Amino acid sequence: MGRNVTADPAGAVKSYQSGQTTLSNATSVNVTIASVNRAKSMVILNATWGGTTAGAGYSAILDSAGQTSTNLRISEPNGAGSGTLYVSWQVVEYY
Amino acid sequence: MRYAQIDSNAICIGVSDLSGPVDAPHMIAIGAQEFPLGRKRVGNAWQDVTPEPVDPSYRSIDKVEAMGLIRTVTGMTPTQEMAFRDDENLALFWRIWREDVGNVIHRDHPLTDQILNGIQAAGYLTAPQRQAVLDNWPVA
Repeated sequence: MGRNVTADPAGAVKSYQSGQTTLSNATSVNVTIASVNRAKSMVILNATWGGTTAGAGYSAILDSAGQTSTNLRISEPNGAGSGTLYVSWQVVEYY
Repeated sequence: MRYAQIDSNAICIGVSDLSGPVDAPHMIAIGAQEFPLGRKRVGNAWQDVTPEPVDPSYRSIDKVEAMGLIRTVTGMTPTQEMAFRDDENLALFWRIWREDVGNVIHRDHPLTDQILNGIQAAGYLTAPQRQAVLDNWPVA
């Protein structure tokens, strides 16, 4: 469950977001998220393909021209697409 | 706050638990127990999506025929084919080809498109050759 954390000591978790998405007919997908500070955020990505953890090369980037981001772009490497890729993602923002 | 994200066709492409509210037409607030991934938003409801049927005028082929089609279209020599099969950049591709891709391949299936994209991206198929693979696909 996404949530905000009230305490704000440096290094503490400020917010947590998560979700699931799929890539089937595209090599990337843009996921809309609540605004986070890119410099203080960590992205965790887990990609599964036909019941098996997908290989290296998948990436998740907090897209933005500025300091904050509301878009998580998840991409698969060229040529790796085959079937539906199931993606679980998490974004942890720190103070 | 839980949202379903829909694409331009109103298909749910993601379910997200966000840390704050998001106000966007492609973000639909949903309940904690809802998981409409892959379903279509119609009005205030979710409907199942029926996949489009594969073009019946083209028949399915197996991996041997598929490789033969690529050889025919590209004019690939045995040496070039060895390079193609041994290319380290295609290690994941070949593994998927061996382990995940079934032995029944449909011309208009998204998998086929992605397989051809992969071969093209690696430089073993030009854009015209890629089209030629589709144009020369065996018919029923």
